[in-house]
Amino acid sequence: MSILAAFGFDVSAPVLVLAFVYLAVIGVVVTSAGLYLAYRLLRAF
Amino acid sequence: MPPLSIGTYVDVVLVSTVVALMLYPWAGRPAYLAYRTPVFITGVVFMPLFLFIGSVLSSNIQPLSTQATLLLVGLGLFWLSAAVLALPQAQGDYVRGLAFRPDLILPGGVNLVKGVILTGLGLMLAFQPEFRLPAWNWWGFTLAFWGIITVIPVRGMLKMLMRRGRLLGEPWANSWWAIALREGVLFLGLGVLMYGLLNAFMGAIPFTTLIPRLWVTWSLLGGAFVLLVIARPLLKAAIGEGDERWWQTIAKQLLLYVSFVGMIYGLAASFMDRWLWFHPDSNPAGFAMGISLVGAGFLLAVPLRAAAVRNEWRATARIVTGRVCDLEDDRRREFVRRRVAVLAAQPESQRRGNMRRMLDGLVRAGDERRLRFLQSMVSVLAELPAESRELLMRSNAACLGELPEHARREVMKAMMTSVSGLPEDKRQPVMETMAGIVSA
Repeated sequence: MSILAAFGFDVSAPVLVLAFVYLAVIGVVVTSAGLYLAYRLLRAF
Repeated sequence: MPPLSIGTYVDVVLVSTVVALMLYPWAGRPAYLAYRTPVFITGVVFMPLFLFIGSVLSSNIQPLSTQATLLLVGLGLFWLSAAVLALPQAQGDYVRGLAFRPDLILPGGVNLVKGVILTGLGLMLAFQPEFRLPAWNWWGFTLAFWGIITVIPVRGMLKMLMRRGRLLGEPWANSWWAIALREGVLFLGLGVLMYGLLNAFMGAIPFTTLIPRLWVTWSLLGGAFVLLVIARPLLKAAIGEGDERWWQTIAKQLLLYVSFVGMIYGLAASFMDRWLWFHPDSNPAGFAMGISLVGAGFLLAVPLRAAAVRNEWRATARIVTGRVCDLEDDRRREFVRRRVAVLAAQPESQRRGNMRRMLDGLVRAGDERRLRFLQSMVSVLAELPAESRELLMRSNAACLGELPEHARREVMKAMMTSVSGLPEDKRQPVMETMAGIVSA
């Protein structure tokens, strides 16, 4: 049993890696936007 | 029980982090309930229901009726904990040094997100030809989580920056393009949220198996984009937040509702590769359960959200007043000068509404802060042209008349102290205007 299958994944590895790259990029972009706006908000008030 | 995927642990950490940030006593424990009210806490403390719902859907609980009952109990609490946030008690008071105010953006955001989730889940149940509950994938929820973060805090902070701009009369803050930018963020956030949840409910890892096929339904996404990012900002720019009537606030939410239902259908049909329709004959239970959830989602996203957004704006005006009291003299005077200019340019009914909220903030601010604010305000009023001064002082007098006697006396006392502290040449015009109002 591969490591992927052990965690319940039944998708080919390259597709899965790409999917997690997308997921991570979205997370980083959203978090960065949030932190930037929080900084702007702190300065504005 | 199926084995837990890493996604489960990731989602537990994400949800726990949000709950901890929301409930952490950032301004200390003694005044905790003043800035994190019991209603707010109720709205936040049930956030882990996302995990409960995911656990129920991913379990093999038998019979199906037990699993459905558990799901409905979870969804009931899920709905209730969002509905309470529409109460005006969701927002706390101003507390010195506390800049982190999720109570000013969370209620409307939660009502929207949960309205979308309940509507989406309801439609999925009602579209099935036979009764079965949706599947669950934890990574799908991980993606949906980033959609939620985009829709609530990211868009919420943009909203707060624009609310500040509107309070100070900055033209960009009420411009079509700025509102369209914010609604564009909402469109993207909703897209991520819906795609994530669609994956979660279909048991797929995002970006792997679930790819769009039925492209014709993307016209619905285009329609939603036009309504959300073009039409709604035009309506919002024309009305102006805080100045609208009840039916206008409801109309804005209805437009949002129609847009996101179109988005949900467009995305679901495209990714499921077929046109979707109801099957009340072959699946009466799923249809009834689904339509009930759609109704619950509608209540959250339209009337309750309208109330929540209204309360957020009122509390923002009140809390900003408290914050301004604590600014250094120069910055406070500059803020008051700009705010007074905005108030003077507004129609009487709007001005009174805004002054009422400002006075509300001053009543709660305490003696020392109230005096500081009014000293700045009176000195700004003294320098205004006589007509503007009279206009503002008349509205102020009318709003003072609406206050309970004790509060009115306290505000009047601070106001008279401020007037008496003015240099003679500035005191004279203020006294003359006051005398004119009293004699009339």
